[in-house]
Amino acid sequence: MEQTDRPRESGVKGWLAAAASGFGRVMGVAWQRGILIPAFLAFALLLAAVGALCEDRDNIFTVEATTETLSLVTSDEVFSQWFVGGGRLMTDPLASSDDSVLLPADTYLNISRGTEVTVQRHGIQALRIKLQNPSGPLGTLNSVEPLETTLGSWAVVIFEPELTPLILPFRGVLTVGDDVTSQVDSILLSGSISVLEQQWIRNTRYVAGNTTLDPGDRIRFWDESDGNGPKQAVVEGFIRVEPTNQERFTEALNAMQLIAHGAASYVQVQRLGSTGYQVYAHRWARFLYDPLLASLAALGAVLFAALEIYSKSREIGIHLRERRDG
Amino acid sequence: MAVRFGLLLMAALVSLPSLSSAQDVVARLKGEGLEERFTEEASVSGRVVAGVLAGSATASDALALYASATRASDDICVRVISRDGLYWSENTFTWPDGADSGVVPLEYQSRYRDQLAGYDAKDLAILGYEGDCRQVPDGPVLVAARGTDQQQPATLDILVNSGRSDTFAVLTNLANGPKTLACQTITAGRRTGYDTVCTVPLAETPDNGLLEIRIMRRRFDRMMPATSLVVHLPVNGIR
Repeated sequence: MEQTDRPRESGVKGWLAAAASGFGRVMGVAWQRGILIPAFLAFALLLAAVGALCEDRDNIFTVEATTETLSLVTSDEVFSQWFVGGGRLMTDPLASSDDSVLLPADTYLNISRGTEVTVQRHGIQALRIKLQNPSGPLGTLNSVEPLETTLGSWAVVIFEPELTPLILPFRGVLTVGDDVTSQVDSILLSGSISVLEQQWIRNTRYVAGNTTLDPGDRIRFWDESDGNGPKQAVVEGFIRVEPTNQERFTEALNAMQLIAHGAASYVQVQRLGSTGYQVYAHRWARFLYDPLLASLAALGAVLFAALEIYSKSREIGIHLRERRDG
Repeated sequence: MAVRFGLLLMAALVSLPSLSSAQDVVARLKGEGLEERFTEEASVSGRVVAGVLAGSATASDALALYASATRASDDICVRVISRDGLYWSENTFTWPDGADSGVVPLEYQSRYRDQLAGYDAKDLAILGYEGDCRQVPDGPVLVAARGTDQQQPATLDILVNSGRSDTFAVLTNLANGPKTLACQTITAGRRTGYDTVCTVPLAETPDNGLLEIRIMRRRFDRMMPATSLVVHLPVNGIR
């Protein structure tokens, strides 16, 4: 057993020393075989590939869905101003629908931060908006005409956009669709999730993958970047509500369309009959989708192939020379 | 010293019969083998009230029912469903003679003990009602307990499959008139079995030991049909 009096270097320093020694030896062999430059290039490519693989990158997820229901907890009051003119307002959860109040035609609903909003619509029926906030006011109703109604901790607005589509923007924690069980009547109908990943070195983005959603899926965005376990990510988006009179517009099925996007670690898809799955940009997929990395990978493949051909040709040449010389 | 030792010995001898009887008082399973299922795929529950649990329940595979002062049947139907809908069971148990107070453990020899113990306190709903499961679909409900540390509960948790509606529990037979409680919706995780918890405080209860509750559900602008249940309140005297 070989023993040495030199103190053994440990940790990162030791690994670096070993790597430097290995690199020196490989380069020495490459020098002897006359392939120093290609070997150095191959080593640089390998190093770049490892760096690109381990690098943490921002991912922006986009959910595009046609859904009958979604819920969100608002995080921004400026974004959450929704037109509800001509709608019916209910503020007592135990009262019958006959107790509703007709809102003036120019009414806007300003939703407070932290309010839980559930939006539901079947086909081109009335749009139902439920607001709940046990710990504070739901928001305010603004109209030119004076309003006697104030919002407490629970309210429902029933609204029918008759002639033109309605856009409802939001920023907050979003849940699209509902998990299927008995007595649930509103679900996600169709949609897709795509991931935009930050490109290597440059500050541009590329599509790192997309997946199709099934009817009945339930979607949520999760962020675990702070290292304290996953928490729901804040996203931005809007709901497009088709008008009730749809003869001049799109199909009745697409009565409520949603676009939401935001930075997150992954999107959780819950699905009946399975444990569900997570959608995220896999690190290995970078070599497929990142244009710069894909080019580098192709270059690496060509370089390795050239090295292999050169090495084999050299061996054949040596063999032929040995046979010729006897 | 000798007197104190003698008193301790006497106390120990006196307590021996009661301890042994407490161990024997178990609601025996009626029929052969526990009727239960644990699947990878979630089953869909059709009942509005999935279970009535003592607020002191803990994550455990030890299931029990609180005894009540009066009962119309010796058969008790016990339905268990997990919140994620993966576990389901329905079995009839025979109530032990003389068990009129305290907690009566169920002879629940489940094949899925580890999975049951893994469910959090409110992630497993137990509904125990008077009658044979095959003969009666519902009846007066006995409060269920989970875990071995069974205190007299200060609250009840009614686990409701609301269909994502706003849910309220109305206590209809209190001395000071009806009382309405807002229930809490569960938002995290899978909600195939149930999605709402109604916590009912037991500080104010009717004298006859039967609490009448009406579960009201509102989905946006329409009220859904109300569901009524009668709950046998736990009788003091934990065994």
